[in-house]
Formats: sequence, C-alpha cells, structure tokens
Amino acid sequence: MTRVADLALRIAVRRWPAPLRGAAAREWGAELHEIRHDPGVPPARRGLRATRFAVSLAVARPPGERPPGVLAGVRAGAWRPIPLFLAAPLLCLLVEAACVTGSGQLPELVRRLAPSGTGFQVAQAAQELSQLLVVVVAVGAGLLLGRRRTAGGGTDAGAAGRLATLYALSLGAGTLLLVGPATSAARSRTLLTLALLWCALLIPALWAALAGARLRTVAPFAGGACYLAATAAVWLRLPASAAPRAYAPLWFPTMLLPQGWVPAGTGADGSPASFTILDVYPVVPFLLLGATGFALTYLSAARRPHRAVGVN
Amino acid sequence: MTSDVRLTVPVARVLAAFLTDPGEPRYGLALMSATGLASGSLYPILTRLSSAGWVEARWEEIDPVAAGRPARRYYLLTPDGVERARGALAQLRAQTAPHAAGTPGSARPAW
Repeated sequence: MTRVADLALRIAVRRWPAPLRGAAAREWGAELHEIRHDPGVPPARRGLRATRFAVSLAVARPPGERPPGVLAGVRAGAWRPIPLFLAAPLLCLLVEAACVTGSGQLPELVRRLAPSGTGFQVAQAAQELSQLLVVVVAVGAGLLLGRRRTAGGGTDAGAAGRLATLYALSLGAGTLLLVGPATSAARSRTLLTLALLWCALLIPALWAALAGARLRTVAPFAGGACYLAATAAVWLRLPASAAPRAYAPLWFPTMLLPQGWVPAGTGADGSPASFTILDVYPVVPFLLLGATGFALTYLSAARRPHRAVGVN
Repeated sequence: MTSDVRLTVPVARVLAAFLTDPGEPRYGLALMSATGLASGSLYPILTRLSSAGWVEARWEEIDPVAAGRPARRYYLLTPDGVERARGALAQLRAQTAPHAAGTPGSARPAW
C-alpha cells in the first residue's frame, strides 16, 4: 500500500507543470507524512487514505493546461506524437515478424557456427538459442529506437501512457495475427486468452516504467507478469487427460532445454509432460517475451529527458 | 499576476472555506476536510487561485527534526483575493437565489 501511494505521488508530480513540481513534491510529501502518522485514524485506514490522496492527484487534470475559460485548442507541437502513434502498431508487427522469421532462420546459422566436438551440444540447442537471441535483439532494438526518439514528448506522461497501452495491445494483436491463422480454432482461442492476459499484466508494468521507476525495478515485474500470463494460458489450454495442469509452469524450461525434455511428470500416454506442453505452445511465449523486452526498453529509453541541443 | 478565476462549485467551496476566517492560513489537508474535496480537485484549484493572485502560499517555518514532520505549505487569501472572493460568492448567491414571486423580470419556465 505504501509503495502504491509513493508511486502514485511520483506520477502526480511528473504530470504537474514543470516549474511547480519541486514545491508540489515537497508539499504533498508533507501531507502524505501527516496522513500516515495521524494518531486519530487506525493504521489500516491510514494506508488507504494515503493511497486515495496520492491516486486522486495522479489522475487529476494538472493546472495550467489552459487558462480558465479559454476554449481548448491545438497546442504547439501537439501533432508530434501522431506519427509515433500511427507507427507503433506497425513497429510492433515488424518486431514480431522478425521474431518469427528469426526463430526459423537462425538455427541453421547457429548450427554452422557451433564448434564441433565440444562437450556441449550446441547444435541440438540451436532452436532454443536462436529464440533467445531474437529476444536479445528485440531488447536491443527497443533500446536503440527509444533513444533515437525525438518526437512525442518524453516528459508528456499522458501521451507516453497512451503509447504504452497501444504498444501492449498492438503486440498482443500482432501475436494473434502472426500465429493465429496457422492454428486450430481451439488454439486460436487460447492465443486470444494469452494475449489478453499478457496485455492486462503488461500495461500496468509499462505505466509503472513510465511513472519514473527504474527499468531494473520494473523489468523483473514485467517479466514475471509475462511469465504468469503465459503460464496461465498454458494451464487453461493443457488438456487434463494429456498431462496434469500442475506442470503448466514447465513451459519455460521446456522451451529452453534441448529436445524439450524436462524430467518431471508424465502425461496420460506415458510420454513426458513437457512434450505435451511443447506441443501446446511452439513459439508464442518467446514472441511475448521478446515483445515485453522490446516494449519495456523502448518506453524506458524514450521517456528519459532529452539531451539539451543548442539552437541558433 | 492577476486574472479572472472561473467560479465553479468546487472553487466556491474553497473560497467559502477561506472566508470563514480570512486571516487564518490553511494547508491542504485542512482544506480537504473543510471542503470535502479530493486532493486531485483541491490542489489544481489552489494553484489556479495562486496564479490568479487571489491566494498566496508560504512555507511553514519549523525545524522538521524537532517537529517530527516536514514543513507544511500554507495558503492565505490576499487582500485583493478577499474582496474578489466575497464579490464572486455574492454574485453566485444572487444568480442562484430563487426570484421573488411577482418581481418584474422574474424567471419564466423554459418551455
């Protein structure tokens, strides 16, 4: 509860007009301190009051957006985020297409580069290594593109928040578009469940990233959210007759290990449970892992204050 | 800098709270209690009133270590703000008061 209130207060301060932020942060911090130490209120209610105080500020319309009584108009530079908003879904689809293509093409490259005669059977793990490589490339691409972003107003938390939501929705829809048509109706429904769960968990993580939390703080949360979403979808999809649903969390080690075998549990036909899980989800979790990394690094890099540039 | 402030119901509540004792400085939480407004409504109003010159803000002068709490920010109506607030609230009351029956120019139904 304390962390939620602190986070909401940080969001509120970032949304306040820049010249007033310092005083607002100090003033609200003092008020929050008083709420948290009010002896006349039971401790449980203090946390609730503090959270309500901070959240109300975080969602309020900041003053100075326009003078009272002046009709809303188009402010200077308001058009700048538009190309970015239009480009976001396309960018997401390109990243996912690269993931799909990469996971198909890279194994051969890894096999060629693999040293022969070594104890570690790199060639056997080519598929998994290539998928991991695609995730790393997606994260790097997000970082690079985010740093190069010059339009859209990195300090405009409202626009950046909408962009974060758009990213998550685009990536989820992209997964469905790329993988859905090649699957059965039942698997498409599962993919839809997975995409929705993933969006529901990733969007708050992206908002938290934009609110000022450091990437190293948010990344584990977002990664965990993505993993939970994928696990939940596997759990929903896994037929109880094929393997116990308790083995659903095995999807990740199954994807990583060569030949997709994890020595834990057997399905109804006596085959390892991990084989069944592998059949359920061939590529999708890695797509979403890559997409999570891309979205997080892009938005975290893009929200950083721009470096001052001399203007003549 | 002074400018006009659009008088909405929340703004009227804040001004009325100040006018109960115009000489008494108030801080955010006290105003929230007095007006029943949420923080997200109150602070934007206080900022607008400050920038319009109706209200001035100053920091409490205390030693935070000795007091065991951070310094508060107090708000007080300026002399000009007192006059304007009284005028605005009087105007609001006049606009919202029911017309006396039979008074020339009394309100007619809209239909």
